[in-house]
Amino acid sequence: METILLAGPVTALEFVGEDILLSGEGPYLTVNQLDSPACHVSRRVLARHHIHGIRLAPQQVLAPVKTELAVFGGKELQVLELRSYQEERSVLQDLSPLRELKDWIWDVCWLKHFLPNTSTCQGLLAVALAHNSVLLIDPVAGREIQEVHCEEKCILYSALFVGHEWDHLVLVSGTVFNQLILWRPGNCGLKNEEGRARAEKRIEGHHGVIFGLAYQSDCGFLASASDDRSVRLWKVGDLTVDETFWKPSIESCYQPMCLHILYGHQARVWAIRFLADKLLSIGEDGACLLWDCHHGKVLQKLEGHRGKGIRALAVRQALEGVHWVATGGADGGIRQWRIDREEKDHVEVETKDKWLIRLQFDGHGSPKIVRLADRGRQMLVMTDMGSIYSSILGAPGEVNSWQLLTEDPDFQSYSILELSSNLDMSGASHMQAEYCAVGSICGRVKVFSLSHPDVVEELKKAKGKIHNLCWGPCLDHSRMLFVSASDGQVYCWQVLDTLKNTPLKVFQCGILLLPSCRQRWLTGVRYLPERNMWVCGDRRGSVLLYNDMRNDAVLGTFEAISFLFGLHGKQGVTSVEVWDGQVYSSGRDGCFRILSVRDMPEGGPIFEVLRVLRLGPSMEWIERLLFQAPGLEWGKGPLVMGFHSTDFILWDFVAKETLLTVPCGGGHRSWTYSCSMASGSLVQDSFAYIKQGAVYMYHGTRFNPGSSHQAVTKAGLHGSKITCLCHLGCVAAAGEAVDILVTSSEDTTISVLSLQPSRGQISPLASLTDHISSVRALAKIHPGKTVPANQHPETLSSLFVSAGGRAELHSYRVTIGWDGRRKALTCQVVHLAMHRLDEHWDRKKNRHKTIKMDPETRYMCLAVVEAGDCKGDGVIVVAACSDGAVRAFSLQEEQRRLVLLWESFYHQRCVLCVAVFSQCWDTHCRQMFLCSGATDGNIAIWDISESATKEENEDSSAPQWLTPSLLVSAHQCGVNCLDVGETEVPGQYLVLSGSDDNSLHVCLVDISNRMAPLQLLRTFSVVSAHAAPITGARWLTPHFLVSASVDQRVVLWSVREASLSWQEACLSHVADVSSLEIWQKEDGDKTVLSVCGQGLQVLQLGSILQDISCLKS
Amino acid sequence: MGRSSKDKRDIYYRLAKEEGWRARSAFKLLQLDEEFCLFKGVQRAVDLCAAPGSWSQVLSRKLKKDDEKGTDVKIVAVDLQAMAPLPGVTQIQGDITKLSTAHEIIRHFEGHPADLVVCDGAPDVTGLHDVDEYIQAQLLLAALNITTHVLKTGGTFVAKIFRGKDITLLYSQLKIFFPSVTCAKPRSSRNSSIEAFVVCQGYSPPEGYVPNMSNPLLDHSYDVDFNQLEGPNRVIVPFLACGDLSAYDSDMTYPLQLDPNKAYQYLPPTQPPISPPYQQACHLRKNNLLSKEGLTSSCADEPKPSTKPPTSLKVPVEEVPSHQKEDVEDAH
Ligand SMILES: C[S@@+](CC[C@H](N)C(=O)[O-])C[C@H]1O[C@@H](n2cnc3c(N)ncnc32)[C@H](O)[C@@H]1O
Repeated sequence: METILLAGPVTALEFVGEDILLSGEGPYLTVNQLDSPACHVSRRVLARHHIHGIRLAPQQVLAPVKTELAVFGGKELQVLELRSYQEERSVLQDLSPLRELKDWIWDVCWLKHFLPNTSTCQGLLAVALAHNSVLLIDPVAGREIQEVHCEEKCILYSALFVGHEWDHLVLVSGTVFNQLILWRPGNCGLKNEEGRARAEKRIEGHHGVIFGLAYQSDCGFLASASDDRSVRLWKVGDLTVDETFWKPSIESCYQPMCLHILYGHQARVWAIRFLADKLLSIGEDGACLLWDCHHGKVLQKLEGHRGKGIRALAVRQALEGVHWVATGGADGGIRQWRIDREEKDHVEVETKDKWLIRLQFDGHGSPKIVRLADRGRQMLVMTDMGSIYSSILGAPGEVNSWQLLTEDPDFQSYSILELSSNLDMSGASHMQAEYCAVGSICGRVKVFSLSHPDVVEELKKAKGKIHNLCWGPCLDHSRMLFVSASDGQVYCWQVLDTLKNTPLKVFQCGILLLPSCRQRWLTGVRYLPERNMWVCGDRRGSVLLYNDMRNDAVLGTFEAISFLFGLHGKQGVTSVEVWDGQVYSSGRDGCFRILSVRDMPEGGPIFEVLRVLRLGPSMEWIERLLFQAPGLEWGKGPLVMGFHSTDFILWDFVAKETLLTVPCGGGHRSWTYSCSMASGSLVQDSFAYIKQGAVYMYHGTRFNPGSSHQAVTKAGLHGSKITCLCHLGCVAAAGEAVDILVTSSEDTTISVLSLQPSRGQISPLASLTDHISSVRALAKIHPGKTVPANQHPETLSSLFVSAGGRAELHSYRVTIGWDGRRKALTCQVVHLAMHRLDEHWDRKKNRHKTIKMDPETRYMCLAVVEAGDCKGDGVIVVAACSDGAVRAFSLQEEQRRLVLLWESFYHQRCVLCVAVFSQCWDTHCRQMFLCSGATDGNIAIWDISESATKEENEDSSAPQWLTPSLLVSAHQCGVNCLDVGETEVPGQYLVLSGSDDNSLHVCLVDISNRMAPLQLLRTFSVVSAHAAPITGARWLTPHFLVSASVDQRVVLWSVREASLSWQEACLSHVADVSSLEIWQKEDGDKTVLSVCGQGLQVLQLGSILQDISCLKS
Repeated sequence: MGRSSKDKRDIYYRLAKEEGWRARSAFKLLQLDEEFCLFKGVQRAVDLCAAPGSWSQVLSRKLKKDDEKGTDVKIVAVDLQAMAPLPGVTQIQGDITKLSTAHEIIRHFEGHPADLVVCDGAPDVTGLHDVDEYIQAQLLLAALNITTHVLKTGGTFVAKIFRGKDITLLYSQLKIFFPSVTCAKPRSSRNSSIEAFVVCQGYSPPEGYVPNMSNPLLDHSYDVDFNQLEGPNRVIVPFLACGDLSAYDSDMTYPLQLDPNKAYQYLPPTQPPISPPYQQACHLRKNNLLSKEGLTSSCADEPKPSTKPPTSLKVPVEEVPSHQKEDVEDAH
């Protein structure tokens, strides 16, 4: 078995020079070449442990880079040489054989000088072991020179060397008992009667285990991170030079001064590093905090990793310019962060390139509306006195006097103002004239061009108050202006682009009518060129579709051809967008949706929601989506604008990171945003808003996410355990077969991934966030056998279901294709249907008679079978449930429905897994069987053929025919996995199960007699097949199977004459293995295995068909 | 999530509160006893990693019952964390991997060895499985080392074990001291959790073995010659699921009302934790006092406006973690 790919928590990171970042993932060391990402090199350097640390030898040559590295993890240590040249692949070469020490390694230190009388000690290493001892070794010669024990024998959770000379070397050890112990293994250290080193100093103060340590010699700071969620900063002086620290103090317990207790993380703190006189800390909360050591304040919070925490931290301290920080997540992602030197005094108000300030305003009246024009260089303000002012923005906070554009008493106290370019960041707008429209309480609307504010065109007065004004895009040298007046009437006006022509030319078109409700006005409108229709969003949360009204001479009234009423809830739709042929809508429900227009066989086109995307806790209120913005690469969008609590936020949806946060106080009635390219890779943001009658403006630059120093060096997969992995199929991408996988996770998301076996690369294509709780199971619907097996299809369309906590079930169709022009995979996801048990229960009529459905029920496993005899697209989905039930649903793709068919509480215990198989007798008759396994070790086998004919009705209780045909007591406890394999005999099947009791079990069943019940022919098992629970077992052929366990072994077994025999095993580097998936490689007869858990690993199995013939002979 | 949701998800958590146990772990020891009769003839016992104390509760109820007067019964309970006092249980607060703590325990049994040593030690899980598994193994080995000093020949040692990638190394080590080693999983321990218990019976150290406390017992390494790492020659001990099958299923979601005649009532935990490490941090967090990054603006002194967007609808629900956290959580 050969590993093709490993993706798991990044547990070690280190910078080498300016362009190299080393990372450790499992036992693999990767050289990430930052200037040429294609050149990265990855190699396994440890055997069975994960890499926990990388230490560079003090002597380095930087160009070309030539460095010695000590890489360690667990009990293993390896010394290597790294050589790299620009734009070429680096070379990693072993300098020593891999050493396995007798104890766990917490820290390694390269020594400069050894004993004074020996010549040198270049290349010697000091190793800190977990039972508080230090080992001095010569790694190249493979010799242990000396081991020094500390008198305080106890288990450590962390250790840190200070210094590089053996004599003066200091070890700081972090204990379970909340202490730091400082001692010296070398000659300067004190020894007790037994010759053990004295625990010379103890530092107390923490209330929990010490997880991380750091030391800064220039300032004499020592820092410690703990289970108590705090970081403490101690003033200790120079530990290797200054003897005063070590003097036995008069007071029995000498305590160095604690400078600061830093509480900032929401959870435990794992590791810390100094960066000049600042401190970085990473924690379980997924945040990296930059602390000011002098004031004990958080300077910056770096967030972006998914889920549960950051595991690795490295810093690149630059003498000038910017510093860099790299973080590695439990999600397997690596990110880099730029730390600006200037931000040192971030706490003080205005820095050169970032400020938030209240603008001086001396116009007539109090500002009500603010808008930015001309890519942030011009500001427009409308006051409650009906005046419009303009100002050209200059240096920070400076306004070049407010110039009055117009004033009209009719527009006092109430007015609406909108610019034609508002929030248009595409850069196209400055080619066109910029218009401003204002509306009044009595129905007046005035339009003028910003370049000729004196030439004002007044539209025909509308009925009642103007509720809102929306500008459409520029089409054929004209723009549409949508005027929402009373009674849901939207007057449409065409404004001709007249750069030179003045006065303006405006024409009235038709009137759109909004569905009746209380707040009837338009909040967003876009043109859909493919259909020549208009997409609108309204204040009531509805998304609507209208025919084109532009060439309507009769000024007719248009009703929506299709609409989804209240789609975004009562808080309303905030924007609609058309991008790359798809329709997007955003709302204050914290969601944005992807919609498409579909033609119905009878009746016209209708709107259909393909997917709902939630930003979760990061944004509560979405205002706009930006698909085009300065610095944003094509297709890397959208950027999402919105509000969260009291902040305005700009969020990068793809990179999952916050680009901008402005503490503006919350969602405002009037705000405006604009951005433009600044120098180099910097983007300039401008955000203005009105608060309590004053105009505030934020202005700042940020790093462009798409620039050469990418923030995301490697994308993460899942924030916590991967519970299930499913291979959907293959697509041909530029001639190469790319595997498409889906994974589900405890982090509540599902990912669609592409796996390029040749490059050993896995990349996320889409993240599905519909589940509200942990997702535990996935099952794909195998396309019927009638579909011809197409080698290397250009597109892949696949249907799958997912299930998890809170008794929730979802189903999706994904379509993957290859876009040759952009050289990228395209991925479209349609969320077909969902089912929730509690909602199902709420709808029931006779519910008072039944016990309330428990929403805490977890779906543990799924299996699907096509019900199709010849009756269409019905699919039966079976779920194993924690409330003791087996439930069956029918999935109707056309109707986008998931319906509960029946449930059986036969097992009376938590059902852990299900599997299905079916036998086709002729085109009209198909028998379906279900196997279910529970926590008591029993497996039930049921004939569920009649499910296909069951009518949907109110009553989902177990129908008469639903009793198991067979019950096998296969295991002592939980059946974790089931798989059914065919045999060479028609009608005979092998049911394989793996259990928590370490055993594998096989039953051979016979269903060949259609009239007789299913028959059990034989059973056999292996009791201690693994040393830990078996969580995955799959048939490869009737003679071979593989099993996977949390003992991290993947084992290949052969089956002969009712017995299993061990063939081959492989140690997997994925902890907490939760499932095993297998698939056949498109080209040839290779089988691919994949295990997932804390990460995922893909292995390739040689041709086993050959082995079979060997066995037979 | 409401406070009752944990009651729904975890039947043993609820039962523990109803029956007055300080943690749901009590049921694990009771179910192990059902299978192995651990307490038969036992008068002197050590409970390592005992906080919050449910195993000590079980020990003191069970041992005292056997011995009517309870005069010869001796129970020593050790943990890093402070533990609320229990009548008849001697408490030591300390790290069991630490030499001085070990000495203190040993002193209690000089001349009168113990009949039973139990250890339910679970490390402060870091989520890095290799580290967690290693530290849990060190707890077990520290417990074994203490055991070699205090356990009578023929005595029993029971310890929590993580069934991870190197569990076979621990088995081979335990086999040196005990002829009978079984890996047992009580039904009250979740199927999804990697924990199990080794029940080691008939203590008989190798001939000439001198217990030595000053050097820790280190875990074994794989025998390369035997290809133990990936080969078939790993030491795997028998597995036994214990507890009655009719007992409650720890993985099952039960409705709140179990008994149709008795209305569900929420009960507070029996024994809330004493000064847990996160106390101060939680206090600060609750009161919004954690340090935050600040782009301090010139309008920082203004009151917050009332136009706040609604709070988000989707809060990721924290699920039952798959590994060992459950017992630690009990106390919270
Ligand atoms: C699962 S709890 C024990 C529950 C206990 N058996 C009961 O029934 O209440 C695990 C305990 O191990 C303790 N522990 C972890 N490491 C320890 C160490 N090095 N020394 C002593 N106790 C330790 C923890 O403080 C924790 O209280």
